[in-house]
Amino acid sequence: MRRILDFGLTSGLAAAALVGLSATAASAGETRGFAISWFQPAYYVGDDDCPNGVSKERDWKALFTAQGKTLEEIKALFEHPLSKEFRHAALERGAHGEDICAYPETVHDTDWPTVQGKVSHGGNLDGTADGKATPKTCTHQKFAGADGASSVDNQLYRVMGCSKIHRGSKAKDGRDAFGIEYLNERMREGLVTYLIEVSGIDSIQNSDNVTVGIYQGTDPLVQDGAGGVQADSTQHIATDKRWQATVHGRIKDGVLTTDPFDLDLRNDAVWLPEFHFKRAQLNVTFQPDGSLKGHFNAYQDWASIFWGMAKTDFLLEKFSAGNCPAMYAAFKAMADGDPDPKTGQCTTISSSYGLDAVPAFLIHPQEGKGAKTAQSDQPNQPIKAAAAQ
Amino acid sequence: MKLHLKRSFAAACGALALLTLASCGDPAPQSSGGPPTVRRVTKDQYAAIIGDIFGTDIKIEGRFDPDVRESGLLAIGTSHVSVTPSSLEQYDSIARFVAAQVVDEHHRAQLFGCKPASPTAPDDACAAQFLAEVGHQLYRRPLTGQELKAQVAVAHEAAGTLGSFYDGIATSLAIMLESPRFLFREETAEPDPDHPGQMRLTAFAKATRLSFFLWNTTPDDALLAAAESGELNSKRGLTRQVDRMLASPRLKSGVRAFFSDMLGFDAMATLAKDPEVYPKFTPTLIGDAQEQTLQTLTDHLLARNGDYRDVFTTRHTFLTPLLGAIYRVPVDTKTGWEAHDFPDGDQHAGIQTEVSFLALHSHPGRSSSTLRGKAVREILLCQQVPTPPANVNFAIVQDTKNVLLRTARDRLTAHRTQPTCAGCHKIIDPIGLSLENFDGLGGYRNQENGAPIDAGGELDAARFEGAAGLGKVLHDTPAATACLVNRLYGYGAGRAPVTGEAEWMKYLQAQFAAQGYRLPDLMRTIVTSDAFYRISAPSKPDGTTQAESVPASPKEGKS
Repeated sequence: MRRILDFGLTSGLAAAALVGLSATAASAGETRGFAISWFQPAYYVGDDDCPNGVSKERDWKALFTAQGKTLEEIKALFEHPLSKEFRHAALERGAHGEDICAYPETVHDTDWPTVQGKVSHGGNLDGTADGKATPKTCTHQKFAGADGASSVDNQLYRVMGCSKIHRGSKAKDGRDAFGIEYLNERMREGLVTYLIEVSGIDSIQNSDNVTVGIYQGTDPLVQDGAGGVQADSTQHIATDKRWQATVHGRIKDGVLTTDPFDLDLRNDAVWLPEFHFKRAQLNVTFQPDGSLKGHFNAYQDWASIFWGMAKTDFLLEKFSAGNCPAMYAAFKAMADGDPDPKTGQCTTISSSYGLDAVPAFLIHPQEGKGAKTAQSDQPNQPIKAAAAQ
Repeated sequence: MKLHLKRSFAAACGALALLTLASCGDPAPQSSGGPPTVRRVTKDQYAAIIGDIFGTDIKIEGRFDPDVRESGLLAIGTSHVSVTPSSLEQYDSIARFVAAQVVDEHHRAQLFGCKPASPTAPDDACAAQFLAEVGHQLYRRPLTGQELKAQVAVAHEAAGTLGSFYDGIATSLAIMLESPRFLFREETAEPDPDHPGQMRLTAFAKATRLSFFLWNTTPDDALLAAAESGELNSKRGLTRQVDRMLASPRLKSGVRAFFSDMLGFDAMATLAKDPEVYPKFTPTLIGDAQEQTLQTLTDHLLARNGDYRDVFTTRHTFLTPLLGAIYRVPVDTKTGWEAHDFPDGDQHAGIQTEVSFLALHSHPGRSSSTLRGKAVREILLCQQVPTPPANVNFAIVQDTKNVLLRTARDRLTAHRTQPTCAGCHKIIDPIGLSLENFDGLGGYRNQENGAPIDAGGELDAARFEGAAGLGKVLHDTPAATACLVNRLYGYGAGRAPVTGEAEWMKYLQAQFAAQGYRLPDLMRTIVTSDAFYRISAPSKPDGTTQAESVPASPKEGKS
């Protein structure tokens, strides 16, 4: 509590301390705001994840030969690989000429490399130790957690972890994969902004009772001179409550975790217009520089993920080493959440998103002028606050 | 107006009695005046002039030679620069580009008061009308008959050769735009009939000095008319023009230009920071930082008519979202600026705690107590700090990772053990160390390398704590207000005050105090005085000159 009062003395934080005690605070305490600077699927990179290698571009020549095309016809197609003729031959090969990315079940194909490793990022989302079916889940294999946790669920990683454009380097923890880094850059360039607010903090080491809000923001992220997302920017929270959630959480030994919650967020219209997260759990650690780093684990509607990729059809098949029918089959087989009451087919898939967030001032729309949150790492606190600690 | 002056004067008496700097009721002391100047117009002035005469949509593309800072001001440096062959090429290019826009189809209808008989042939009458009007504004005086005749002849010949009246005008206009009469503010003097034996600026030179001082641009039609009619040479006429000019929104431009010069903001254009150390640094941020200080100053000094001394202690400022990230305060506005008041007790108080000052006087990757202390001495107090000897070893101060010397104070203390360094550092470091709570970009911190920062400071005999403490000392030191008076006068005159103006400068300082340190009042005192327009004789009969600099503050030259 003394710390809270100290904050009230600090530069520019006085207003934050005053309004920070408003409705959503779980208890009297400090409120901190964050702008998410990294939010992409966490695809662990180990040594034995993909024993058969990553996905490869289809052998078009073999496919076209199997289709009965002559060498001359195949040669003509390869002379114009971006032509509609090539696309037609490559994709419109369902039983009745359907586009196999639009109708992936019209072709039987299981040639998709899935992760065979034992380790993954993520959390135990179904609450079981072994992945046995429950009323809300289907039977699946568990991972050991990359952070030492046990019984981790991350079937999205199992499906996508050996995709050529989604597998990055071990040194960068997979974040440098083209299909990962590119999408995050779109967020950093201003496509979407996600915000986190933690209120009721007594200590960033241990607080039993905090409230965590996750919000869609309306301001583009501000890039700093070093290529990162600028800390301490002011961010406005979107008015539409469809794109936000608040949940109870706690901080233990500097790690913030939450109860499960559902959350919808608007996203990149090109690949996945909306996120629909179910039974999500936040697991992030307060860093010495005031930022957050960790994971956001949740079930997701797997069909929307698949269709988000499949709608890029030729791009996915020809240039991204994708395989619509095989990927579809893999998703369907690996999905582990929310079985359809009639068919028993699971409709969601467990996932884990790497999440970094930098300190930010958040402004709630209903409050008009006046910031809601504040943040400060130790070295930057004004003298009075530091001296009192 | 008379009443207002009387009221100010009465208010002055009480303060003067305390200060004993000048006797109440004493008239302004005699001033020798100084030599007339020939000043090159600056890039900003060039743009302002073109905007005033032809419209702000006229683009100016080209590179201007850098200005030179002398006696603390670029405005004084402009009296000592010329035009090099390469810069003449640039002026030529800029002039042709401007002239082409002025005569293009989009602008000619607005800017020409006449239509040629034929657009494809010379028309001397229309050319003379346009060139006389524009020349009057560009040269800041009417063209002589010979000048106008020559310009019309050029327009005629060019129109005939090019088959276009407007191209002919553009040719003549370009010549005027690269003429020394436009590019240089050449001051001319005449005998002063009110003070036999003394010289004063001519009315047009007076109008020019007045306009650039108050508005940072060329005289407008009303001021030129007052010069032409002789009104400007009468006290009443001058006061009428000064009243008008001080009441104009253009005063803000003039005040911004002055403080941009005094605070050395020209260096902002080349300011660089290590992005790994200061990732929040961007060119946009630095532009905002400069603007923040100018808005703080003009709001306090003009909009609120505040006490100049309070610029070192004010907690009222203006922020953009980018600046908010440095000061670590929320800024609600998404695009523009919003007012912000730092709370009592906050270390952000005064312009010396703003990003513009702190970042400008730091190294690319670290703060600098030495640069900041030197800047306080030289820029805010007008005190000269000697340059360091050439063989200084900076290894200790540059090693910010030294585990034994973790803070700037530790490193500078070790550095000062070198006898050649100690003399200067002892007068600048204790000032700069009080700003050590701000990193090299201006962000707040209370630790460096994990060690707590001791922001205790010292300026001459005064000891204080932190940036806010420094602000209070600057607020109270007479050197700060004397410095402003010196710089403002030098800025207007284009030269440092000379020996023969020493009593006049003391008088100005006393008047400034008596007026409650109000900038507009000080500007009024200067521009309504005879001294501001007094021109000294080139030299005395014994061969000595009066043009010797007067110390800007009691301390100057003694540090």
